[in-house]
Amino acid sequence: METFYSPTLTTSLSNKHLLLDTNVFRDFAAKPSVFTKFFNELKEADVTIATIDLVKYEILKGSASETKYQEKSKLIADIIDSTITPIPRTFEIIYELIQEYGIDGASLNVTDLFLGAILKQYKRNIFLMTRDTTDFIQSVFDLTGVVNVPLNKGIFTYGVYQYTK
Amino acid sequence: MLPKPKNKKFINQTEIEKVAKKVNKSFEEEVKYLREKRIKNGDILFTDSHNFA
Repeated sequence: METFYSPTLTTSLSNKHLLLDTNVFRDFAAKPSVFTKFFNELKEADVTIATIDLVKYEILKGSASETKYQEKSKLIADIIDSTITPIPRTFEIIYELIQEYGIDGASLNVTDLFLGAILKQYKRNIFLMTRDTTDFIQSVFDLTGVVNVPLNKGIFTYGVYQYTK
Repeated sequence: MLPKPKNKKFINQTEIEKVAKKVNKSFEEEVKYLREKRIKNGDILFTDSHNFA
């Protein structure tokens, strides 16, 4: 089984950062071979696979034992190349983002706000890959590409978003 | 500035599949735990599907 995406996606992402949302890590655990091939293709094109601490917290919480915590921690570390840390400006950007969203922001969680703020902060240098295609609305973010992962039953579709305003 | 990795690091297919299998099992256990907790508390169960209404 393979991922399906536009050939121009790799070119767009080349030498940039690709942030991963929580759902991507969860899906990776279920379909490691498919995602490994995809991410290694991106790494070959000098894409830096990254995430933020809030995403890591979402993955790690609920670990029933120290061993299970360490396994999750290793999975994250093996996939990503870098963790992007918020700076004081990031927290200011979140307020701006909340205003941009208006009523559509009512369903956003804190992790979504931080991911969105990092996109807004680093603009053309960074993208986000997420299966949460309803919260990253196109009146705020640009949908740069779509990645499809076929399953035995159904297809998972991920949006690749950027903030360019 | 965004941090750039010093060296290109690829994912080792064999290694990651072993870890992913264990992590996926943990996720399944957590989902089961949460589902049982919600039932016990009498919460309404929602599906994971999006509501496009």
